[in-house]
Amino acid sequence: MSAQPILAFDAVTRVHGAGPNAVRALGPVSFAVSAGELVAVMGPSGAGKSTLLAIAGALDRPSEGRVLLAGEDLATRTHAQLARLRRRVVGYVFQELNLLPGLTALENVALPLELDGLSIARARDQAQAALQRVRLTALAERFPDELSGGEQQRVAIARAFVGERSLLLADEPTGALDSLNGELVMRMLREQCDGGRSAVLVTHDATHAAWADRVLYLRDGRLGAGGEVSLSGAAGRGA
Amino acid sequence: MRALGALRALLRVELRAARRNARRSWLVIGLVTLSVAAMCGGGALFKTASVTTDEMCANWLGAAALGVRTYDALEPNAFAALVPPEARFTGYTRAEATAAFGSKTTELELWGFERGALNGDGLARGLLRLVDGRAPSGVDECALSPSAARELGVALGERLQLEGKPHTVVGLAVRPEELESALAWTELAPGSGTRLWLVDTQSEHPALDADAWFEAGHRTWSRELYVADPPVGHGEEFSERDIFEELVTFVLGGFAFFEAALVMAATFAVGVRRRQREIGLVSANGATVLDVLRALCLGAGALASVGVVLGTALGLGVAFAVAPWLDAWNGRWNGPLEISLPHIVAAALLGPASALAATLLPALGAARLPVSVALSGRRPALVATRAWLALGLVLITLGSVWLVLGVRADDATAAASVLGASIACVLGLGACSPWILAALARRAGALPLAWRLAARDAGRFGARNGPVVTAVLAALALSVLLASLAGSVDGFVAEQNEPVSVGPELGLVHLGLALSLVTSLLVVLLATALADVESEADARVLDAVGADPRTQRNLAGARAAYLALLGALLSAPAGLVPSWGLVKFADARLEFHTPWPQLLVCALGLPLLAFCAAWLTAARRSTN
Repeated sequence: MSAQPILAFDAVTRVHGAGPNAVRALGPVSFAVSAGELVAVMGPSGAGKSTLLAIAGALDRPSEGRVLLAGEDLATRTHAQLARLRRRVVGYVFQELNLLPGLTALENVALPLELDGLSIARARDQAQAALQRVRLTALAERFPDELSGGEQQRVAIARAFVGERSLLLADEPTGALDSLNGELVMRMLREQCDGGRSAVLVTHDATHAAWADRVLYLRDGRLGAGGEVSLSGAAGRGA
Repeated sequence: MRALGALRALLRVELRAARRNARRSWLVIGLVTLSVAAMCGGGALFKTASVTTDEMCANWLGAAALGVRTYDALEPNAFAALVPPEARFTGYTRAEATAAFGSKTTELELWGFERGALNGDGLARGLLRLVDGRAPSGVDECALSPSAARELGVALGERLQLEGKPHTVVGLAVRPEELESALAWTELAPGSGTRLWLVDTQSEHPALDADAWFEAGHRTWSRELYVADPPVGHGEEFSERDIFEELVTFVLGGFAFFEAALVMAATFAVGVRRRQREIGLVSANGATVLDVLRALCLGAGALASVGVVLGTALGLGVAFAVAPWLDAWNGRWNGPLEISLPHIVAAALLGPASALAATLLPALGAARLPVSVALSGRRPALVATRAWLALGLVLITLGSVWLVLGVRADDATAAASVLGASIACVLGLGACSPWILAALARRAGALPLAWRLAARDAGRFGARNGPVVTAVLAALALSVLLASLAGSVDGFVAEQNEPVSVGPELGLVHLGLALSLVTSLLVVLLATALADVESEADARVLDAVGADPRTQRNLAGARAAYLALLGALLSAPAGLVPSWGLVKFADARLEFHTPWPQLLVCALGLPLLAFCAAWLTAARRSTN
């Protein structure tokens, strides 16, 4: 792991609404994710997990505090600069419906690179490499509706890490999968992090959280008592 | 460079989406196709049917530069002394005559020409046109017009009496500008005297002194007469009527594109709403607001371009197919179909422009939606503000003032004013509709469940339903406008107590009425589909609390009927205002007519029809 965190939250809060209708959805929360680290975020519904993920991925802005993504302070960035960060640094994997149905698996993976202006050939080369890492090269030309749920999630992971993208934010990525496919997806995620990339994983499932290096517990928008638990990156791997 | 790369990638997504949602894409293509076809085909037919200066000159001058009516009948040798030596000339006669065949007689116009005067190099070619048989080649031969031959019951080869002299009918001939006129064409005996002459001076500038001819008692007419003045036989009244028809065509054509744009806007709104999560995913992967906006607009432009190509082909194809009947419709020799390039260019620009205009608002809304909201599939309800009401009232006021002032201006300004003011009024009423929907929603407490939910949903999503109501009211306004105009023209015809050729216009009006009603229904069903998409979560809740399928169908029907009713009520002023403007412009001869039956059909019939259609299709509606 390098000393420079890929993601850092510094006393971040998010408040929805104003005045008497104001609702604090998150914070204050402080934590950092280093390169090569897989961090799980757990907590009950409404604890602020998805809000945390949205802020981490530059989809939402904090009300207070500072977020550094790849060293860039998100508060000072324009919408266009935030979009650039989403193309180059951070990738998302949701519970389901991650892929554009009109694009093949390869084209879905290549999408952020093409959005960034790469030529089709170069974008596809890098997308092929990303698919190779999740062992889906053979299905590259298939459309999403020709893939199983597990395969779709693996394509989404490949897209999240395509090119130079180094941080994956996953919101219940195995929630719609059976246990076998869920474990396969977690194995892929772990492999990517072992290769030097980073990931933040929101999950309700303790067995999936066990694949992480650390677990953050959120309750009512704050890190719970004890804040976080280090699993030393070994507790559940392959279990 | 990055923007181009992003555009390429997102256009691919758009085109694939268009292919996957084929029915919606074909609807957009169809709307553009029909509008473009109407403009291209109508333009070609209008141009073909219009009398050009060349055609008018050919009708009165043939191939000559000058026509002369001498004071006395002159023999050719005497007339030759009046023109330069190098000039070519030919004499002809034209007089009322009686023709008899067996027991039948008829009055006709008797034309006499020198042999060869109507041939390829003859100076009179174009005055008459041989359509069957051959030209008369002796003083005892003649050609008749088909109408005269029909009247007499005479066939080619038979002999009849012309002014008491026997003639053999050897051909059928017509006046190109008056196909149904009764005439006979005979050969002028060589050397006979006549007062009518056609002269070609063989030079660019006629070396003839018209003033001197006038002083000598002769009368002349030349090409310049037809370029400068209205054609002989068609006075001021004819010109005014033409302008009125053009104005109506212009307003209806403009309304058609405007309406197509509104229907397309509703279609795009449905499509964009259904693809909200897909658009969110694209944004989550780094597409900017501009990237998404450009791709959505260009995708719509691509569909519209297909519509332009198909519409041009369809319009010209239909025009080509109906061209043979054009002569019988307007009673003149129209010649081969003439393609109107300005109409094609205008349609090629207006088609994509209306599609882009239709896409812009839904696309902007989708592109600017926060990514996290787009990904969640939820859409925050937009509150109708008083700003929309104020904007609507301003537009209505501006439109009314524009109409009142515009109809007093010259032709082009008046046409633009009626169209612009109508659109301003429709948009103004549409802008007021979110406020009206919200106000009605607050008073819906006493309504039955389905109607209460329909009213509350319509109010809750007032900003989204505003364009839908605008589309409905614009379509209905068109039918109200047409009905009002038809009533005014009917009243005028009844007052005249004489046959007036308004058949084609009334046919067009009735066709327009039917199209407007079908369009209105289509818009309402699209709006209902959009409301269904917005309310999928509500539907699940209704299911969960035990609502039976009938309740869901009633809700779908109520949504459709509610929007149709509001659109219908607002369409009355929106349709009657431009009708009043057109009638005022046409002249005091037309009286403004309020089409009460049509208004009732719109206010009661359409909502009922919309309810039934939405109720029946609620369970089968496509999910694409």
